[in-house]
Amino acid sequence: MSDFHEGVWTKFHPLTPILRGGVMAVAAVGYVVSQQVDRIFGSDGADPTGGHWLLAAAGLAVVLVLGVVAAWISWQAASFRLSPTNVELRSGVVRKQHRQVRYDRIQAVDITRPLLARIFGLSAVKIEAAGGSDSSVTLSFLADGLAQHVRETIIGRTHDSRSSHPASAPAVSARSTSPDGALVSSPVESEEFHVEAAPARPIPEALIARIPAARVWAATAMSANAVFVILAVPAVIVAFITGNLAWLTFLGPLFLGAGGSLLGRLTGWMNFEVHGSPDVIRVRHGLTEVRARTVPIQRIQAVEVSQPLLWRPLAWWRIRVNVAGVEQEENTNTDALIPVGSQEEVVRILTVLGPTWPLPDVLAAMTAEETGPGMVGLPRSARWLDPLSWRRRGYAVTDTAVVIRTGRFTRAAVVVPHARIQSSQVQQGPIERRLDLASVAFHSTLGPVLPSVDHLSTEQARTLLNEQIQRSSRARAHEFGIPAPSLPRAGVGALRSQEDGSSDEFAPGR
Amino acid sequence: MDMTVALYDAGDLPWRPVSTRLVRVRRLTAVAIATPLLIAFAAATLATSWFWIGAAVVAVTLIWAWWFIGRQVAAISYAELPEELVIRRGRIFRSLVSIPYGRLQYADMASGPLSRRYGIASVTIHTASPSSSGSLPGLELPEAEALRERLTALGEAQRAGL
Repeated sequence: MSDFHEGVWTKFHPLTPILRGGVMAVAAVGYVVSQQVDRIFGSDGADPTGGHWLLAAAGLAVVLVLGVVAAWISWQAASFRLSPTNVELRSGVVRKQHRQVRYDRIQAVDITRPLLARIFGLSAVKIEAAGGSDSSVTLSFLADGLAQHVRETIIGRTHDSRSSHPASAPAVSARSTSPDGALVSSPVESEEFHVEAAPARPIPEALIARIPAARVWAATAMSANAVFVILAVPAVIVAFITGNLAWLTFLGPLFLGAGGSLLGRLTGWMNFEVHGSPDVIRVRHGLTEVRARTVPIQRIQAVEVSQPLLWRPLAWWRIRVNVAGVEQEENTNTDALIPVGSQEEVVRILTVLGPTWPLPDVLAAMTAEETGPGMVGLPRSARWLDPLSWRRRGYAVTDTAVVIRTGRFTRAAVVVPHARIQSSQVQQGPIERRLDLASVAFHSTLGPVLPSVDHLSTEQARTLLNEQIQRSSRARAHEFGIPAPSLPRAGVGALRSQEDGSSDEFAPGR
Repeated sequence: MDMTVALYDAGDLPWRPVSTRLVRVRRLTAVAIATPLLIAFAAATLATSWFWIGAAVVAVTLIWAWWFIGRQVAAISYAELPEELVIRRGRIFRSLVSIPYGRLQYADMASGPLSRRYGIASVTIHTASPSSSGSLPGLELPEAEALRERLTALGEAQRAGL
């Protein structure tokens, strides 16, 4: 539209409410028509209008008008603008919302044209940022030309903001290009733009690990599910012979569930191969269909090396990772970098990941029985909340990362680099308060690894949080070249100071 | 016994409370939920006298909530440090989260009808982690607006990639 100016709040196309309400209208008309057609051709005797044509038409009209009026009111309240740094969207009548997304956080800008919109020459611009599931902003609807213009402007700004900060690499590439026109269930024309990382250089990849079939069988057999299935087989047979239906209905589904999961493992883990180059790790696996996954090493946010109890005698481990901006692998059987690897293979994979991931400390955390030197353990009072594994839990800090050790039965070492921590948190529940304990969590991106050190003493938790805030700050400054803030860092130290008496300042009655 | 306040409280940290109007909004909401229940139980008591127990439970819960909401809101405070926003909250389950400005992905500001009547809004900051709970309820509208602007500007200045 000619009346679009950057940096000015702009309303959406005036036909938007018609389109929004129109979707409902089409559905309603379609329903009525299909009912009538059915009736005329005699396949369905009942007439939903009951013969009251006028009444039905009036009802339909009221629904239509209400829909369009509601859509019109919400159109009145909605506007967007492209400020120098953000895309901003204001919306909502009852609950007002104001969302802004910075250009440098934008991962993808798509144009979608649902069928109805296409008829009117309108488009929606869908902007996606890194973040939770709720992190997209949809500008609907705009005239085709304006939508194109807005998209190009945003892309231009995104590139500008990136090129001026080369260190803040775009985060998403592994995205399916399926058009997402969820507005109506009709064919959708979609043009996509994705901020891609620089293409990986064609460096020959080396095979790092290949899981032998025998190990897949053994590892599958040595799992809680397998033990359950083995124990359940005689029970199911006995129940079947004696005709004990209660047992059968109880055990049957459990049995099938556990068996299915085992089969999923077997087929998913067969032919598992890990290839590595300096930039990416490629995983290939599958018996019936070969599936491949590429994990850019730079995007790995956290690593967990874990070992179920039954694997301990064989020293097999599983490596799982959080990868930023990559769609979550649904199947927990196959979301690992390696689902069952020897210690030597684990070492090789961690070596490929690079020096950010402190190998000796991870190995120590994996295998050592008790907290050794360099590792901070839990206080004795933690035994009340964690009687079995409090001795094994603890953390160590290296130059590049925090290494957390957990688990008496399922052993695990979790690594999160200082520069990859999104935010940090201390928590304390009522029992922890009685025991003078507190838990520290480091928030990573979406994935199977949740780095946290539970049940430290309050003093330890305070120290860890404060020191970690500073370490992460330094690491970010180092990695992303952020200018150091001019203000003195008085605040964090002050977190450690004494209690104040003012916490009840806002007690009821004031 | 409240030793742990030391973990979250500090003399020279610029902690700021949220608006006490949030107390009113939350108490009104509690009353709005409890009132129909109370009426229903009172009506039922006319039929079967045992229903007074239900009414009493609702009444006691409401009184407790009335008191607790005051404490709960008083426990919410935030501090804008040079590099991060720190939010603490909770009475029974206490928590303190520190979110570096450079991790900000985007900031939301929202305010429901009741909140708007009382001139308050909530600001939520999102990082690339779904667990960073950077939600700050009960800010007065101009403050919420200003905070969102500041956060966005600081996020821009101190940006750190993923």
